[in-house]
Amino acid sequence: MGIDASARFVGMAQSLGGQAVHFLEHDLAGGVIPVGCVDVIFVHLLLAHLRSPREAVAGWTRALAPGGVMLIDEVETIETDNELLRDYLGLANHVVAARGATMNAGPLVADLGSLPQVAMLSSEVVEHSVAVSEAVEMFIMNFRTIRGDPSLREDFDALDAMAHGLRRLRGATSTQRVVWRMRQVALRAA
Amino acid sequence: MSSESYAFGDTKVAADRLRLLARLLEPEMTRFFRRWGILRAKVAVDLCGLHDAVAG
Repeated sequence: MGIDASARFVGMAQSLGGQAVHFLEHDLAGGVIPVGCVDVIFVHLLLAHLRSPREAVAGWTRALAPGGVMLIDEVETIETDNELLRDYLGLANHVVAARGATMNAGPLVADLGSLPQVAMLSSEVVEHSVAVSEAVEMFIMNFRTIRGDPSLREDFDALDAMAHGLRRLRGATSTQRVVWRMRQVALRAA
Repeated sequence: MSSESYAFGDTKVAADRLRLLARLLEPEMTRFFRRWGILRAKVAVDLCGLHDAVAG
């Protein structure tokens, strides 16, 4: 089963998922999963959009079956030597922060050992090293969305310069990398 | 999370970006699933969108 707050994303996922996977439109920010006795809950790049990620995780664990596992995979850091991409990442962080959330949510859930009714099985950071050419494709897509964000509307010249720089970088040959360091946490219900 | 608070949008471009991100992160994600037995689960719930073909 896949759960998402966006009706549009749920519709897209249904068209891809076939009969074996059921999708549900549901707002998870309240810490409730509307099904029970779940063997595995997977949380991927979601906590970065929530104002209270630890509280949400605590609520979601109540949907686990005894012995069920929750796997959390969130950004710890994204690092690069490329100055323009660092600026872009700062911008993306700013847009998320303007909504009261934290893009690098990994550190917020690194230690969930105090949650009731669950045991923390592991908490570690793994690295994905990505070529700048691949990363910039993704950043350009995201930039199209976030440049219209209300929190950024005051500095059109800087945004235009960034858009131009990202497009130039797309065609450039670079040996630089972008490294996603992902916090992976596993919890088991008692 | 309500859809209007999605900082990175829920358009087709946003979906394409998520798909690309999932592809880039897939090797370590799959290793994570295997380590904790997700591939043997009867009921698995994915709390974020479009990469359920991997999770399910």
